[in-house]
Amino acid sequence: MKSILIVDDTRSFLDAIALSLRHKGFVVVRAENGAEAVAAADRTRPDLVLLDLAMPVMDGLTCLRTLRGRPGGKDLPVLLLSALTDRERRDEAERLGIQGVLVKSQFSLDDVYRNVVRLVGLPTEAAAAAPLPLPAAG
Amino acid sequence: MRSAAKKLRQPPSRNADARSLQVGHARFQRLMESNMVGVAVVDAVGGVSEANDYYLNLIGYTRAEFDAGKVCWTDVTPPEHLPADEMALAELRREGVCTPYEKEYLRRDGTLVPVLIYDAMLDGPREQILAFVLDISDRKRAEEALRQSEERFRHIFRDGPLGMAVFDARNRFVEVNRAFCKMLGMSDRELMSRTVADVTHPDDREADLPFVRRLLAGELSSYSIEKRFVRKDGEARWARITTSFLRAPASGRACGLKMVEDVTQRKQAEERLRRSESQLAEAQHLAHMGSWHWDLAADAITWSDEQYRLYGLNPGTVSPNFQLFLGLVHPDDRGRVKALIEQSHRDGGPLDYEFRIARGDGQVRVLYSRGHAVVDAAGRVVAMHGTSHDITERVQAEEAMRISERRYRSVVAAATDLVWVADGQGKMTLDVPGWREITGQTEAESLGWGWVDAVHPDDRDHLVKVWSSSLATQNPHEQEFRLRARDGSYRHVICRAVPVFNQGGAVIEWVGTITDVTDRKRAEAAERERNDLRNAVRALDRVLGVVGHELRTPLAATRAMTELLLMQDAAQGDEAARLLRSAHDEIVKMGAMVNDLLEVARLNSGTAKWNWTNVPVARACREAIESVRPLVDAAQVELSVRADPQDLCITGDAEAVRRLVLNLLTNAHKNTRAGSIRVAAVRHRERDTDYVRIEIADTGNGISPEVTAKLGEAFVLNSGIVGDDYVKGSGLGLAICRGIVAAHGGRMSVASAPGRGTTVTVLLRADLAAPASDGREVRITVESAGI
Repeated sequence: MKSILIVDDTRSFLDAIALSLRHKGFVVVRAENGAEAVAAADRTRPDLVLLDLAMPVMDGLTCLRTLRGRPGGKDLPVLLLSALTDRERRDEAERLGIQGVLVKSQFSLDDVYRNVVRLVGLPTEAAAAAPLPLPAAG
Repeated sequence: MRSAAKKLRQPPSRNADARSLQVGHARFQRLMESNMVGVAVVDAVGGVSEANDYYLNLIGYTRAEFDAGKVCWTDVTPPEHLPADEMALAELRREGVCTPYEKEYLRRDGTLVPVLIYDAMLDGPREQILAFVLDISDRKRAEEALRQSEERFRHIFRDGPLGMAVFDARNRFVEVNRAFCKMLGMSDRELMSRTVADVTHPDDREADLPFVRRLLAGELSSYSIEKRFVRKDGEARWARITTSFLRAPASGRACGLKMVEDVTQRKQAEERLRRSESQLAEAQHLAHMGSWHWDLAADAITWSDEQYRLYGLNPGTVSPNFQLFLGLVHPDDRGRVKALIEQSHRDGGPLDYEFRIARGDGQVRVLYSRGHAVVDAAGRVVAMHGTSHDITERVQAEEAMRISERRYRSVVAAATDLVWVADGQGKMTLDVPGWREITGQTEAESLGWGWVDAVHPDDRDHLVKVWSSSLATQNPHEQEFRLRARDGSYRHVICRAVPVFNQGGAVIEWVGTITDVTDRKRAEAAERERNDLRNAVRALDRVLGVVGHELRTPLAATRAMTELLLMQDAAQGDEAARLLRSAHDEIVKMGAMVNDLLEVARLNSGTAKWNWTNVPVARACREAIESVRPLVDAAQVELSVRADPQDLCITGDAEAVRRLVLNLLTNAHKNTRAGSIRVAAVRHRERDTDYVRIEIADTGNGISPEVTAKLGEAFVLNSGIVGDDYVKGSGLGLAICRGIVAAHGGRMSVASAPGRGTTVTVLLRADLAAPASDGREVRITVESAGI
């Protein structure tokens, strides 16, 4: 079963993305800042990370740099989902190795799904058939 | 002799006597003939019966005259000697012999000859006397010479100008002369009780020792030294003393003679000369001045020690002549120097010239020489003498000065700045063509204090004040002012002034520059405008970036949630309702954000509309608290309002004041998870002005100094600050607060420390009739966290 780690400090956004991907049959792990994301990645070994940039505690770039430094972190696919579009941060992220960027408010849930499938393939049938757990109350 | 004479008188025995008589007669004959001594047989009354040649020669008679009976010894005896003869005759008759005695014979030629007589009475019937006569002329002459010599010595000793003293083996004075006594200021009696050492200067007492040893060893017969003796009055005098040793004739003991010449004056003269020469040499050395003398006939030059040094030579190491001198002269100057000196030879005129010398050590020095000719009776130049002076340093200094002067002139000519000179009292003393060129003033108008007329009237007082202060303190100054150009426009100039001190430390003049900075100022203003524009564009970029981020985030969430709702099978029932609520919240947030943006834009552009009325401050604070209360966990955070007095009022915009307090409370709430948030409003009076002071104090996390420094700058806080420094919020809330406070004529400050909470203090004017519209910006000042 394909596992996706979603990192974003906007909980409503996090809920919506998580809900839609679970519905498609992926296992979803959530983190609200970079520090939580690093801990979750160590714990769950996700197949893909959807990463926001502007976050409290630990920002997305620091998180990405940390993940790349972990065992097996070098080849972990990462997709940026960010409202920040400045060149500087984008270049820094690409230097650290990312598999794509989706600009917030510019993409649909379908765009997210297609990019996830592109990077990790389809979720298993079993997963797809699994019951959809409810997100935590926000 | 006496016994021999007795024998002559004894009668001999017969046979033996006859033989003995024969022998005696023969011996007598040989004695007579030997002519070593005068021998004569005489009688008591002058008769001479026998005489040898020696005798006859002695008295000046020939043998023929003797034979003719013409010789009578009484005839040749001067009458004054006859008594001596009588006495001898009496002794003869008594003793048979007489004691040898001296007398004189008067010779035929009238001269006197001294003789020594020895007589013996011969035996016989007649009284016959055998006389032996010895010529003692030589001895007498010698004795006379000695006597005269002694007499002279006595005279010299007694009356001579030389001090003389005889001393014995123990150095005691035995005899001293008057001159010696006079030298020592003592009588001869006083000296007799002293030794040589007693009157010798203590430092010189050993001076004789080495000579005395050599004298005693026979190496010297006398010696002379100069040493000091000490007079009775204690004065030390220099003397030249010649000492010789001799033996006293009478006692045979050794004694010494000292001849003493007082040379004190000579010594003093020598010392004066030596000192004077030494001073001259020192003076020459100090002055780098040497002296020279050139004897033309011998072509011999004499140099003073310093003259040698001037040429880089050790004194006395060469024997200078004209060629040697020319060889020292720098090749480029040699011809000129030679011609000058030759000219002086010809006409006897003075020498006065500078020339270079190339010294052995490679140095080229410049000497200045003066000299003049010495002429003989016939007017011929026989010698030249003069002085030389090393003027290298002076020449170098003069050259440096010339270069400096040229450099200064070049700089003045080349500089775009005006260069001016004023006297010690600050009056312009030098015509500055550039000044006249710019201002159109004449030279007369610009000198003294006239230049002030060309200064902009608004700048004159200050300029004169600064200038006067500078004159008083003697400190350089620099100031900017406007200068009226001849076309009536004004130029911006910078004037710099520095004092010029003399060696005594007094200001003798001021020099300075005037730099036209008009073009530079224009360029700087243009550059400032460009920078402002660039900064504005950058700020706009930043705002757009942040606004983009701040709006995209809720938009992205809303879009995702609504898409989820549209996927009918994905979200149902409660889930759908929850999604809708979240989407609504995000839309409300976006609306508030857009409002804030518009509010800030209005405040910044001065187009904000104010509803200016009486504002009960306590109510505004309570309303703000109530607005924030739903957000706060009442179990964890205590909210309170205190107003003193309760009816505290100001004139202002009530909604704006509520908004102000609300924004500050919202910030406090974000930082405070537990503890308290308190609002307090009190009266405050400062500089005759009434204010209301509102404090919003929380016990929350506090704010780091890096963040407090940026508070109130819209979008600055999160414009690119992410990660650990990420601070939630756009900064719009505090930006709005700043605008409200500005309109109410107040100010804001923040005191915060991480972990200890934050207190924001706002002062609002209590009685402002209308919104302040002076465009004054309110900065949020940071105070030390005394909370």
